[in-house]
Amino acid sequence: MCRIGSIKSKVPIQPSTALRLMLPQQEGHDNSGFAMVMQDLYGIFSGYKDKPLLSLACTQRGAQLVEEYMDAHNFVQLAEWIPIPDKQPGLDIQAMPYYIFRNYDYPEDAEKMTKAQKEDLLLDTRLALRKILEEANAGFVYSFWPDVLTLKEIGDPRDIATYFHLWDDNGCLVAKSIVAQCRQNTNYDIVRYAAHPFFLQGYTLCANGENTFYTKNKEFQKSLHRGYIGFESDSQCFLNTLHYVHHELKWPLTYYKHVITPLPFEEIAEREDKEVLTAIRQSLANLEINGPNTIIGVLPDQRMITCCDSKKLRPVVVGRTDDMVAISSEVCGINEIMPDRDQTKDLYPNEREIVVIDNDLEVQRWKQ
Amino acid sequence: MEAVKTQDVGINDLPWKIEYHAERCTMCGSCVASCSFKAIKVEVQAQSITTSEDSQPNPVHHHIARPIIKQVDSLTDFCRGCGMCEKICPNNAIRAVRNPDTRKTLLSKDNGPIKRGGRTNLNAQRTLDSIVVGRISQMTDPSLDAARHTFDIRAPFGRVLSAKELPFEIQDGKLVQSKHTPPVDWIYPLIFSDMSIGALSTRAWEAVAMAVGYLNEKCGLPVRMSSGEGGMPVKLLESEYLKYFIIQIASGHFGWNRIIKAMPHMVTDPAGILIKIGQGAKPG
Repeated sequence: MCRIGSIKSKVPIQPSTALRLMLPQQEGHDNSGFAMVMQDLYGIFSGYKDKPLLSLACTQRGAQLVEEYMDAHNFVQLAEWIPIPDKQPGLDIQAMPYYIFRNYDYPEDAEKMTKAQKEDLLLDTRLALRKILEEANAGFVYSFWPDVLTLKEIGDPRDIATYFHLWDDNGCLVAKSIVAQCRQNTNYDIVRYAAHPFFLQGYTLCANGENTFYTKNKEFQKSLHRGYIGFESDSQCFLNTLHYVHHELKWPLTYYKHVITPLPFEEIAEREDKEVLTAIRQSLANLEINGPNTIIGVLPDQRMITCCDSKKLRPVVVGRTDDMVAISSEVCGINEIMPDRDQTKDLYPNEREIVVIDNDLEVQRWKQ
Repeated sequence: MEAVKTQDVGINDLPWKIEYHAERCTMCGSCVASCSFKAIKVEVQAQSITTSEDSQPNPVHHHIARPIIKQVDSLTDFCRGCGMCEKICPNNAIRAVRNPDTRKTLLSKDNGPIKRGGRTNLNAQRTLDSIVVGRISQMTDPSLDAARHTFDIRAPFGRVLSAKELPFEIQDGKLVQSKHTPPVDWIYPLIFSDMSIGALSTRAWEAVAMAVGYLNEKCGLPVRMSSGEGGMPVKLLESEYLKYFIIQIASGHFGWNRIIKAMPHMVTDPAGILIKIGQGAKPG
């Protein structure tokens, strides 16, 4: 079991807050890596919120390949941040030579594009870059999306933070939304792509647990969308399904829960919307999940969500103050970053709920 | 002493065992002479006996070598239970007894590997006896746990639309179905091979129809039965039982016109239509 956490704040926060949320929870295989997705960025990226931001870890050759591709496809570089690492000896980190965070302007012909076309362009660009880097074994591209930054690394999260100066709170990286996780995959190979959170077209997701319907999900999802690739971790299936239900089918978010953990037949039969629920169960039976797990996600409109498996076998708690909400596997992490909150207001979501935190930090509980 | 191997054939592996009473035996040799299978033989057995014949204990050891009748432990010269030894013995000293624990069929493999089906019920070996039933939770890695995982073996039967084809509209943040979708039943995906109902006698298909009705209505099992390709009697087509039947139509078109003609008189829809486009082996 791994621990996951996320923070949504009215005041921009730095990654050290996410680390302080995660570190008290670490146990077992934890502390073997650090990965985070930051959304709604301030600091050095605040001037480019509507321009796609590329998050990349690569070799020199990889950087060159990416540059060539982006030039050839008329993306214009606007701003760039390459962290200068603290290479002090003894740090537990398997660092890549370069970490590049770069804002681009859309190609000129993108002006006439619809929102959906632009989204497809960004996805296709990321997939193309991933392919190029994979073939050359020259690096990893995690996200290419406006106002989204992804960092993933293997090692001890404390040392990774030291390496990237995240403890300094220097104001470079600040965001109103951070999703984080502190370990590497233990079920499959250790690949940077396998580390949560995952990102796809504005959707961010990380999960605590396992998905025993991994193979069934994977085989079906492969046929649904070109963006559903990789599958380095069984938790990617949760993201693909979220994207499919909410982005592709354009169904209201509540139906995500009905797809991944459908109600028992007897309960469906007693509901007014039984026709719809039965049809969903029939058509998307292969997207049902199984096993113990908890999911934390962020939607393109920055709303943050959490939900659990149908038996609520993995813990999750939501803590809140007036200007910050944190979702976390264990309450000790939340106690660390918001010790003065009213603990009686903490939420422990149940197996039939989706908890949604909107941009005013209002917490809604939707019953399945 | 002879070496013994764990896989050696023992008397208890054989279908019949000889019950022999040495104290009644007169050593006449008739049983051994009469056994046409060479399943028994005369052997000398060493015995060690302690006796005391005085009124005070006065133990005396006797080491004696005594001829006895012994069963042969062989997969070729084994006792068939013909009973000839028992009939011929003047003193009721020997008889053959059926051994319920026999492993002869497994050991001798004289009928090849254990097989299913076939055209005879004469061999005593039955397939169901050879099936090992275990817990699914012990057969997967990682092991599955019913408390942690959801199991439901029902499956949709019918034309399932892809999610994008579903006629849904969003009203007040809820999905609403705007058109009909093809009917789908959730069934246990348990399939018995189709046996031609058209080839059965009236009593036989009546029994089968009642059985499938019983499973549904009394036992609550959503079982459906395929008609096979031989068509169906008109009486069955026009009955309530039709809802539990899947009408099969195959290249032979047997009984197909009867189905068409019965359609206006059907009181219920069949559970499904199965169009068979190919077949493997066909007996006969």
